[in-house]
Amino acid sequence: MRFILEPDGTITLLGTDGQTTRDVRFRRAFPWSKPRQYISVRDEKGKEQTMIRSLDELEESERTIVETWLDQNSFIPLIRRVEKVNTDFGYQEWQVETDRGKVTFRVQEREDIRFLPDGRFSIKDADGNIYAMPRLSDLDPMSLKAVEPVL
Amino acid sequence: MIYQKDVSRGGQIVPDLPRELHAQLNGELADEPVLGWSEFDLDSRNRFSRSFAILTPTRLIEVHSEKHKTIIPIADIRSAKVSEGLGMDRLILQTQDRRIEFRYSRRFRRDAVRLHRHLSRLLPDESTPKDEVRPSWLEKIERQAEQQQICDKCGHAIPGYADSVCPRCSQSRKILWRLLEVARPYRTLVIAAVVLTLIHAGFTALPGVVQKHIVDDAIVGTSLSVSQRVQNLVFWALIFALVVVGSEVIGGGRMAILAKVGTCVARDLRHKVYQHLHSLSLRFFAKRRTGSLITRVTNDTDRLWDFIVFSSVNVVRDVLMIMVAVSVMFYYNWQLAFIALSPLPVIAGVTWWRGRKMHKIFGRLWTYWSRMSAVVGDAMSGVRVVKAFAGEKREIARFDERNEAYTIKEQEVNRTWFVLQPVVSGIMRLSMLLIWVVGGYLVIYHPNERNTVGTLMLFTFYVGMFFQPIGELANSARMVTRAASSAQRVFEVLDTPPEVYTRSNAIHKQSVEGKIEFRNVGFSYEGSQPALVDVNIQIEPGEMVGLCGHSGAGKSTFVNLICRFYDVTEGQILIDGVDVRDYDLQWLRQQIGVVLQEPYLFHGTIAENIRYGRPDATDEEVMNAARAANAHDFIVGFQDGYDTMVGERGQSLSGGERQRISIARAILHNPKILILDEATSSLDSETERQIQQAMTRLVSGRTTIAIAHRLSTLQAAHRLIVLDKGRIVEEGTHEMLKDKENGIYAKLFKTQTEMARQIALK
Repeated sequence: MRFILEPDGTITLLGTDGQTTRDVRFRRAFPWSKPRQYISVRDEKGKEQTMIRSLDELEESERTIVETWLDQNSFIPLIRRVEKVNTDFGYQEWQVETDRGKVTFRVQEREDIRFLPDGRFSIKDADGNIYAMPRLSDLDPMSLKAVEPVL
Repeated sequence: MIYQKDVSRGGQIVPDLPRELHAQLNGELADEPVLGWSEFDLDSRNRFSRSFAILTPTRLIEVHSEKHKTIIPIADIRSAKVSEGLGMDRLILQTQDRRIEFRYSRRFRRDAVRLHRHLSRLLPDESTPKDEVRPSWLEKIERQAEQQQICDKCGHAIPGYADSVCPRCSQSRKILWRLLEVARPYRTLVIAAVVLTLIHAGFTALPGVVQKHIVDDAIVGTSLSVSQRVQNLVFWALIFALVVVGSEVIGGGRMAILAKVGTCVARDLRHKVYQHLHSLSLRFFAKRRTGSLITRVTNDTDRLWDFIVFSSVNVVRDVLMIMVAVSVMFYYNWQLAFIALSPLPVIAGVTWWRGRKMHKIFGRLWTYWSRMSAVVGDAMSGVRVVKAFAGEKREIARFDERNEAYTIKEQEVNRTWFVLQPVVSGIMRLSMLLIWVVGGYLVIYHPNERNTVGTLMLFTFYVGMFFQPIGELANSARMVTRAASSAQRVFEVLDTPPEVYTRSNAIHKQSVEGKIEFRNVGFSYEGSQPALVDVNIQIEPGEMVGLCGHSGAGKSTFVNLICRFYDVTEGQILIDGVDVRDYDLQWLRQQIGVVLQEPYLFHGTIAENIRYGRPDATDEEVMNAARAANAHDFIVGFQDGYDTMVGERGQSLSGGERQRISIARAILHNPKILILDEATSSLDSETERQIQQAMTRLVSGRTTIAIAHRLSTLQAAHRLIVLDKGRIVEEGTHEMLKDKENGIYAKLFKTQTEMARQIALK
C-alpha cells in the first residue's frame, strides 16, 4: 500500500489491488498500549480500508506522511513537568508543562485519572481533553512531589 | 480573563466579547455588528497558543494580538467545514487561493461549532439552512450556561467546568461563610449554644484554681489554725462540687442544643440539595456518576452539619480554653507561666506537621481503599458474566492484588502514626516534667505566696488542659479544608442553574391538540457529531408515526427533543404552533406520556406505580387503566394483588408484565401526546398479542410517536419516518416503503420478518 500527500493536505491511499481511496484518515487501534502498531486506515465515513500492522514496516517517506498526519490530527499533550496540583476547591487544578506548551487544566473527579498497566497515566480534564503523564519514576522530584497527594 | 457584559453597538447586542479581545481589536470593529466569535487554543503545530476569530456580516477577523490581525472577507470564502481529529478539531476555510485553519482542543469545541454555524449561514452553500428561526436570547443563555459566565462579585469569567461556582470567589473561607448561612434560621439557638460553650469552658477551667486553694489554704496551709484549715477544706470542697455539677449541667444543655441545631441543619441541607437535584437538566446528570450524586446528598451534607455545628463551636471553645489557661497561669505566677509555655511553639509545630502528613497519607489510603472496593463492586454487578466465563480465580487475583496494595499502604500509615504519636505525646509529658523541676526548684529555694505547692499543682492542671485544644486547633486547618471540599461539592449542585431555558412568561394552555412540527431541527450532544440534521416534519393531532432506522440514527434524540430533555441546537420544534421553549416545562411534560422499552418501576406497590403520573386517581380508575393495558388479570392473580411490592427488592416481574404496568401508567396519565419506545427483544406470541392489544387502546385519539421494532406497530402506524445518520431519508406508509428498492426501511423490514419467522419456528 502507498500513501500520497495531496496539495490540499489530505492523503490518498493506493491500495494493493490498485484501488485508490481519497481523503483517508488514520486511527490507532491501541493508542496507549501499542501506539506504533495496528493503525487503521479509514475512509471519510469511518470504514476501514486497510490496516498498517506496524509503522516500522512502512517505507521511510510513507511513514513520515502517516506520522505527520497523526501528529497533526491528534492532540494528547504529554506532560513533562507538573508545577502544581491545587486541590483546595474539591477538584484538582493542574499546572503543567507539556510537549505542547504550558497549560492549566482541571480534573473533576479522581476517576478521571487512569492508571495504565505500564505505569503511565492518562488524565482527562473537565473539557474532555486527554493528557498523558509518564511513569512516576520518570518524573523529576519536584513534579513527583506535586502529583503524589492526588494519585 | 475578564469579560465585558453586553457591549452594545449601533443598537445591536454583541454576544459578550472578552474584554481582552476588545482591547486587541482596538476599534477594528467600528460599527459592525458581531454575529459570532470563538476562541482557539492551538497553533498550526498543535501547540498551545491563544487566538480569536470574530465574525461580522462582511468579514472574519482573526486576532492573534493587538498588532497581529488577519482579515478574511466573507466574499472570498468558498467553504467552511469542521474536521474532527483526535482530541482536537479544525475549522477549515477555503478561499480562492489559500486554506485557513483554526485549531482547537475540546475546550473550545462548542464555541467553534457555533461560529461555524453562523459563518455557514453567510456562505452560498445550499446544504446549510438559511431561514433558521433561532431566538437570539437562546445563544446568550447557552453561552452563559457553558463557559462565559461572569462572576457577579469579582467580574471574572467562570469556566464552564466550575458549574457556575466562581473558583476565585469560592475560596474555602468564603465557602464556609456561606455554609454558616444555612444555620441562620437557628441563630438564637446557635448563639445560646455559643454562650453556654463559653460558660462551660469557664467551668472546666475552675477546678484548677479550686485545687490550688485546697492545697495551699487547707492541706498545706501551715500559717493557719487547724479549724480554719478544715473550714477552708469544706468551703473549697463545696465550691468544687458546685463547679462539677454546674459544668455537667451546662455541658449537657450545650450538647442538647447543638444536637438539635445539628439535626435541623442537616435536614435542611439534605432537603435543599435533593430538591435542587430534581430541578436540574438531564445534561447535568449525564456528566456525573449517580454514585457521586448520592454521596453529595448523604455524606457531604452529613460532614457539613458536623462541621457547622460541632467543629465551629469547638474552635471557639478551644481558643477560649487556651486563653483562660494562659491568663490564669500568668495571674498566679508569670515566671512559671513563661516556662510552661516555652515548649508551646515546638508542640504546635509538631502537631500541625503531623496533621498535614497524616491528612496526606490518609487521602492516599482512601484511594487505595476505593480501588479495592471498586473490584468488588465491579465483580458483584457482573457476577453472571464472571460465572459464565469461569472468571472467579481471575477476579480473586485482581482483588488480592489491590487488597495487598492497600495493606502495604495501611502499614505505612501505621508506621508513620506510631513514630509520630510517641514524639508528640513525649514532648507534651516532658514539658510537664519541666514544670515540676523548675516549679519544684522555686518552691524549695524561693518559697513565697506565689511559689507554693498549690500553684505548682495549678500549673500541672492547666498545662494538661492546654495541650488538648492546641492539638485540636492544629488539626482544625485540615478539618476546614475537608469541610470546604464537601461544601464545594454540595454548592456545585446548589449553584447549578435549574433546568435551563424556562422563561418567566412561559405559556400554560388549557389543553393541547397534539400537533407537532419540526422546522429545520438540528441537534448535537455536547458539541459532538450532529445527532439530527435539518429535520422537517409535521405530525397531525391523533396521528401515529413510527420512527425507524438503525441504532444511532437519531430516533431517541428525536423523542428526547419533543420531551424537551434537551433543546434543539438549530431550528425549532412547535407543538400546536408554539415553540416548545415557550411553554412551561412542567406543563409541557404533563401533556406527554412516555412508555419506555425498559420501564422503570419505583419501589412501591403496583397501584402506586400505576398512579405515578396522576396521584389523585381513584382505585377504580387505576383498575380500569390496568384492564385497558391487559394487566388487571395478572395483577389480581398475585397474592398481594395491587398491593404487591415491586421495584428494587420487590416481587420480580417479567418483561411483559412490567411493560403492561407501564402502559397502564400511561393510560391513566392520559396524555395528548404519547411516546412509545418499543423493546427490541421479542416476547412470546401470547404476551405479544396482549401488549399489542393494550397498545392499540392506548394509542387511539393521541398523537403518537413510536420508536418501532415490532411488525404490528409498523403496520399500524399511519406513517413511517426512516432516519439515517440524523436525517430523514424515507417517509411514507409501510406499504409504500416495504418494497422500495435499496430502501433502508425495506431492508429493516426484511430482517424483522425473518426474525419473526425464526421465532415462530421455535
